[in-house]
Amino acid sequence: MNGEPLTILLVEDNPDHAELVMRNMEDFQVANSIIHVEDGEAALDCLYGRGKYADRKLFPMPHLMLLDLRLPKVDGLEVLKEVKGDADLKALPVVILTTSDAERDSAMAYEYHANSYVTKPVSFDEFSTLLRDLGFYWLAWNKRPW
Amino acid sequence: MNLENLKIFAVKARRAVNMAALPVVAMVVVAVTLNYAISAFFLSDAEEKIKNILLSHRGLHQYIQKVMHPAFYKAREQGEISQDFYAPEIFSSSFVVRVDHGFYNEELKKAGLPEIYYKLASNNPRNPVNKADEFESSLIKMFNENSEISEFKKVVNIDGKKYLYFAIPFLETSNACIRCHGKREDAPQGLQALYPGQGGFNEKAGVYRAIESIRVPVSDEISTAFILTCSLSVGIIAMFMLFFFNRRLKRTVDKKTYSLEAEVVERKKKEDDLEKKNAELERFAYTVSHDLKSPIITIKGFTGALEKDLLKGNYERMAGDLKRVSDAADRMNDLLCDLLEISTVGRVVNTSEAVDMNLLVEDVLAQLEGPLRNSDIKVTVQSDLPPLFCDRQRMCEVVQNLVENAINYMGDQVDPHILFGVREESGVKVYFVQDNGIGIDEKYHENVFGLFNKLDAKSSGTGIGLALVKRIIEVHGGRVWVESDGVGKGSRFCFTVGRNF
Ligand code: HEC
Repeated sequence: MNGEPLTILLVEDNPDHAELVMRNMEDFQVANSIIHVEDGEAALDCLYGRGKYADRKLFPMPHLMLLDLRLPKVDGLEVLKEVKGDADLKALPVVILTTSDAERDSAMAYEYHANSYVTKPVSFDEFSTLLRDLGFYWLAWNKRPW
Repeated sequence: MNLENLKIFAVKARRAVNMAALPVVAMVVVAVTLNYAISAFFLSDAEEKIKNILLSHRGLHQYIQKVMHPAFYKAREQGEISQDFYAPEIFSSSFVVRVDHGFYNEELKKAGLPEIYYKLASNNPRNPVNKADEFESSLIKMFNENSEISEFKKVVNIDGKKYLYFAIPFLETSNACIRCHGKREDAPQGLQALYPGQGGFNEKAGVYRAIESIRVPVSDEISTAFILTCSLSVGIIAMFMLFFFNRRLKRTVDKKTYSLEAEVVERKKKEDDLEKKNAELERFAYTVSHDLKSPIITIKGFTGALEKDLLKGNYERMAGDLKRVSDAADRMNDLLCDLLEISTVGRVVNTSEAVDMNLLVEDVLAQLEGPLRNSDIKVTVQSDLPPLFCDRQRMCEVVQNLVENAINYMGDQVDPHILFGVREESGVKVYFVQDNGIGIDEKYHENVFGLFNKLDAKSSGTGIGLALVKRIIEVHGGRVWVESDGVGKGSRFCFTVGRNF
């Protein structure tokens, strides 16, 4: 890494899954910090830097968002729609990381301009590999918008 | 089966006959009357023609006898004409009239009109052309025997043509007539010379010695009238029938249309229901696959992590990870139980009965005493709750889930309070569970009833409670909804069932 602080916003309502993601990310050290929120509303608050996420030093603008689809309060697709419809936010890479491999969900996600859509693998090894590759691709290989 | 068909056919046929009978009978009556009237009109027309001819003949007779004869006798007395002179062309009115009628017929023929038969028919004619035929003879006899009969008429058919035949007795033979029609030797010399034999002689006074026999054609007019009235009646009958049948047809079509429309509406409704059910099923399958897969990912993920930690000899977080695995397995078990539960709701176990809601709520609250006491929640139940027609066991689940939901979403309320009550809304009893907990933003009011939908990821329960409530209430033909003034303002879950007391 080039020393630049990189932040991932993880939107995941299942605490176990969030833990798995965060552990893997820490292991591979792809990001300096991971902000974990449990619902769509909190995700939007964090992105807009409002409410309890107002402090940009504590909650910097993320460079990648890992977004689950089924979320309490504001649904994942709605968060995606909001982000991709916002002039300042739409460049943020959004990777849908979900349990659902339903055709309809992926179609809707792409309809709303998701950058990527991946289904959580059941196998632990695959889960680890996926997160490592995702992290490296989007934060190292990919030219970041900011 | 056959008999049944026959009966139906008979009923239908009778109905059709009844329906057709009225216009047909009416039209037949009208047609007959019309035909009769028209024939009568043409017959009276023909009769008038006949009378005209006869009267003009009579006029000629009169002229000859009242004007010509006196003038002739005067001239004879004055010696201008010889005593013995006699000429039927001058003397005999019957001769003159016959010849006159001959000329008349010639003129008619020239004018392209049908000739008119005329004869002064006698049984004892002086001139053989006046010989009565058999029929005429019988008429002479009839008139002489029945003095009150003054005329005879009849429509006759000759060579396929219709004629009006008419006969009246000729002048009664008087003494004046006897001069020429009595004994031969008494008649004028000239007459005797002209008419040899006894024809026209030996007549007696006081009888009719002849009839005026006449016949005019009416055939064309009557058949035209007949055809006209017939076609007119047939046309009118056809129109009537058409009108009646059309009305009947329209009624049948209307009825059919109505029933078809109703059928379409019903089918549409069924289709909509089916579509709804399908969508619900799809949502259900989606939710189930998603929610069952989640714990599997957790279990596999953390067993993988455990394995790695074991190899590394990193024991510190193993206990926690094991608990996560175990919890995920429990969660899966819970989900499966809930799924089973919700899938059985469709088939209501117990039949509905009038349930005393006061007792029911009391029972449920007794069961939830523990959690209520732990959260220090005060519960108020409105007194005299009206009874509800429902499946008691299922209604218990509804109330229990709603109260549990209120407990789960009480938040950090310092004075937690739950109220169970009823209110009336346009004649329908609305039961409700009200709390002063965290409340629900209006945009989630629909969502909360979805399967495994939880507004707060950290709240306890699988998220099936409200979905179950919704399912039970729907099976009861009722409705469930949530009212809340927003976040922090508490919420009120309301429900109705199909039949109230
Ligand atoms: C002057 C003589 C004379 C007198 C009067 C007379 N007739 Fe005739 N009548 C004749 C002659 C002649 C004929 C035949 C004419 C012919 O050739 O058709 C005749 C013919 C008739 C015929 C036709 C049938 C037939 O015998 O050929 C009738 C009917 C008739 N007369 C009735 C009368 C009656 C009724 C009277 C009295 C009101 C009368 N006549 C008075 C001379 C007379």
